[in-house]
Amino acid sequence: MSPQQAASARDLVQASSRQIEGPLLEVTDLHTHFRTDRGLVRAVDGVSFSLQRGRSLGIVGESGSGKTVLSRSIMGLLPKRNTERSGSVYFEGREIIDLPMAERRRIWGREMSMIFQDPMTSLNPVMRIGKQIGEGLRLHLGMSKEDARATALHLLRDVRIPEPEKRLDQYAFELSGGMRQRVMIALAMACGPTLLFADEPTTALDVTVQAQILDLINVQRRERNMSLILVTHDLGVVAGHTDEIMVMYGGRMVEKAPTRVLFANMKMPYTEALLNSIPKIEDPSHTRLNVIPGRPPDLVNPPKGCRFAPRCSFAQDRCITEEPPLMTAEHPEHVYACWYPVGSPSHRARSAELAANAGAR
Amino acid sequence: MRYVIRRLAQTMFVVVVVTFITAVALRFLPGGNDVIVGLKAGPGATPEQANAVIKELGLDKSIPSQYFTWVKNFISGDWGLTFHTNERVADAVKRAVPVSAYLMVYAQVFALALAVPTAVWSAYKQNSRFDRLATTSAFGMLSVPNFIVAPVLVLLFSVQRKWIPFPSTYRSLWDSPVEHFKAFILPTFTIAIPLYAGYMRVLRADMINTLQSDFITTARAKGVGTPALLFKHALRPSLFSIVTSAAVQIGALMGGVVIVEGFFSLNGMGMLTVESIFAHEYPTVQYCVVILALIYVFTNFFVDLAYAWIDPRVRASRTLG
Repeated sequence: MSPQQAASARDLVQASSRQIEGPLLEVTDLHTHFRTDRGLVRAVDGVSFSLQRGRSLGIVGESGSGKTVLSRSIMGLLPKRNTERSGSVYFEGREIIDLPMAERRRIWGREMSMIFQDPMTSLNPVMRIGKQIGEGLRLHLGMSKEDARATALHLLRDVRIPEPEKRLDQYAFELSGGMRQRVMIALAMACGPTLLFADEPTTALDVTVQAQILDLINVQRRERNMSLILVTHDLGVVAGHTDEIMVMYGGRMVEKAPTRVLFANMKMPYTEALLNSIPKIEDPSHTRLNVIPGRPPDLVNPPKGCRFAPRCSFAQDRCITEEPPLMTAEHPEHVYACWYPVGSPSHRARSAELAANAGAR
Repeated sequence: MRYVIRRLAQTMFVVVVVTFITAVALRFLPGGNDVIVGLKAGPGATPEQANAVIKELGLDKSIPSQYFTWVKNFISGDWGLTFHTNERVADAVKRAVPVSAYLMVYAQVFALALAVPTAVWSAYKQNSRFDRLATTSAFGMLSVPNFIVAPVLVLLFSVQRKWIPFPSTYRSLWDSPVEHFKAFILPTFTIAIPLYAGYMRVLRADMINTLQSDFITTARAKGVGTPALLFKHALRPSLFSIVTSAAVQIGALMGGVVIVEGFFSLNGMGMLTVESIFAHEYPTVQYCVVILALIYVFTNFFVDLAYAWIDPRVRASRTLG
């Protein structure tokens, strides 16, 4: 073995020491297709993006837009059977898309981990909380039972669970939903991962604790210098909690920009429609909710042109026949896929027309 | 702890009811006391002999005092004599219980030891070739009755191969272990085959459900390996049905495998009960029934404890409720 090879081997072993330059995660042309009786479901269909260390990215879209599948296939969590995955996932300086299971398991929990949607069902009902948190510590860091327990206690304190000593020996059913999600966060952070996925972490929770949980995730992310991928259907959730936002539709990325840029200058009519579908506090009561008409596209036979075109109020002939590529907007990190973006002359004309129609009715 | 005490109290209540019904059942035999006297003292018994029989069985007393005497005798082991052979009933039962107990334990251990790993792997590799083979063969095993399996086994291993003597005689485990196992191996197989198949299918179904739970994904995302995932995370929450059916089988195997016991000339509880019924040996029937009932009742008690061990939620809800 040459000295260079020896050095690179050492680098690989020390990948978790986090000294590697470049983005933490680079996803290139990722496809995830499921074989079903109806045909091939193109749940993720050519997504590329990169994520820097310590940054947070929000992935937004309706149900069925492929956002959950995207996060799970980056992590490699999907069952192999009937799944076709292609493209590249470069993480911590190495390709992980076709890692063998044993190596992938070494990454799971240790370098990437995930907080799931429903804390009611995501914790093992018959295993004590302390043991569930400690399991990863013992597995990845080789801790003794006592050390794992002590660390679990620490983690429970970090996620601000009241009476943490008592919780160690309790079961999930003895905890409230918010507390369980805190336990999930503690569990996901246990081994100090560099990348944390949060898949709709607040959807199943009471509105009153949603903000607390999101703040907690963010505080922990900064303290531990983790990168975060926050998956949600709620633009409002990502607005205050992520550096960048990626909007997905029909298995594709349709817009991506730094959060502030996106909200100031969104280009995709779909992004705009998502934002408009959030009820506003200043609306008079009994205002009709803005909905996006129609349903998400059939991912077995996606529309030929722009996938959003059939539901888009601004679609023209070109949208139906020709798929728009990703274009860069005024801001260099702002990309979108639309022929007639928000603010373009044809979009403005159509807006005026729609407003006139609404007024006439 | 409160849960255990509650369950124990309920169990004791059932025990009292069961023993009471069996103890006083003699009074409700068709033909009444005359038949009993006839059986015990023979036809043409003198009135003195008849009175002695009635007194011995406590039929002259009030129902409660008959019951208490019966319980006292039951506990002290003074179970009286059989009608025909004047053998002590306790001796006959004592001979039969270990035979049934061995058969039951061997069959259960064998069936469970085979069913758990097969079911776990089948569920994990659902629809794989292994799974299809396991489920189809289990279906086959369930559909062949034991009076077919037993002669086939004898044909294969005693007639064609002469590995195992048939009929073999029962020997105690301590006296001659080799002979003991030779006597038990074929009946154990006969009983364990359908048991295994039932357990396999029940556990496989529950495991498949459990493996689809979110908490299994959580465990996977933690980096837990497959063996730990299956046995530490998924197996325990899937145990309810198999524990329940295994418990029911304990009672059934102790008294309900008459055909197998008869075929292999093992004089267990099943044979004793049936023979006593045909011979009108009422006291023996009484004690057999009570013992089987007690086995059922106490297994149920332990199953309830097992539920509480499997799932902490059971502990919580049942103490509160």
